[in-house]
Amino acid sequence: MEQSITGRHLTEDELLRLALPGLAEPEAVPPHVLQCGECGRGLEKWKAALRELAAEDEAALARRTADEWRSREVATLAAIRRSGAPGARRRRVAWGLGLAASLLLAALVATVRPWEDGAPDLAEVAALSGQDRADDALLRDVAVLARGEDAGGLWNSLAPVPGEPPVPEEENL
Amino acid sequence: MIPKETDAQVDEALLIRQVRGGQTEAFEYFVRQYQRKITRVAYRLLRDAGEADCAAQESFLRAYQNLDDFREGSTFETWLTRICINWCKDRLKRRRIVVYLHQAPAAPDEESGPRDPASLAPHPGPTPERRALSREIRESLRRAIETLSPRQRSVFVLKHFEELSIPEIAELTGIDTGTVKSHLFRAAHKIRERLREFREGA
Repeated sequence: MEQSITGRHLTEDELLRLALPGLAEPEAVPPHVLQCGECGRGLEKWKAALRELAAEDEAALARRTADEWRSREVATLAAIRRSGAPGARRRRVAWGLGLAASLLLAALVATVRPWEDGAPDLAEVAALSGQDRADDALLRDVAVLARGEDAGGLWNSLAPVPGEPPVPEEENL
Repeated sequence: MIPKETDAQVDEALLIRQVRGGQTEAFEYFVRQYQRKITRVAYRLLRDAGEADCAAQESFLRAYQNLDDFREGSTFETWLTRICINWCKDRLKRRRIVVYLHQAPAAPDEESGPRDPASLAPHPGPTPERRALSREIRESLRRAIETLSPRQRSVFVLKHFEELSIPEIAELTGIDTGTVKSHLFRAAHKIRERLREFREGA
């Protein structure tokens, strides 16, 4: 009956499009909706749902008393006072980052020790006497062994007992 | 002396200069003036009173700590609202990650799932049945809004619930008006899609 007023009934999607326009400005309501009670109610249903959702949000906070709001303001102000002067947190963060960077650099330097690369200082060694050079070489060998950098032989091989014939390598394994 | 929030013609720029100059108690005016409004904006985005309070407090704290960044061409209220919206968007992002990690999407069921809105056409007269049906429509709309991305949700809520203009939303969210329109368009489209899915799934 209403169908004969002007055009057809709007689908649910079309009604929703009118109630929830994707554009900044609402679309013009078709004449049919203005004349047709069913479509008008359908559109109003969605518009009302939006309005009521917004009102629910208002109501949730409107129930708070003045004292409740006051206590939240006090809590916010207390948090602000605890944080110190404006920018204090940012300065603390900057200090913390600077300190962390310094510590990281110090740790890197202590670990890598670029001035102790293990290579012998040839000029220094050349100035030593023969005995001192022998001692120096011995101390370097000891240092290499102590660091476990001895590349020759098995790491767990034992020195042979004096006077005994050397054990074949297969038996050691 | 700290002006009261009811005082007319409070010079907020002067108060900000005072806070920057060390009179930190002058900041109290801003808390008293804007706590409710900021909490309301946060509540609209987060829909959780506890989180909204947290958002408001954190927004004031950030504003106070970063007061040197405030440019006097803008209003404090706009700047504070922008801080709050950004906080809420971060919160929503985290919530989505948590939901993604801990929940499988629940299939709508007969008990709690949304009903076909077409079958919920209001009947004349405010009967209890009609109120219940309109509550279900609201619920399906709310669920559809909750599926929006944090940015789409912010833009949608500011437009349809806070009833702000596109330039106002652009200023608050820090994005240009074209992008606001684009988010708004996508948000509306997505909501319609979700509602259609709810109808078809019912």
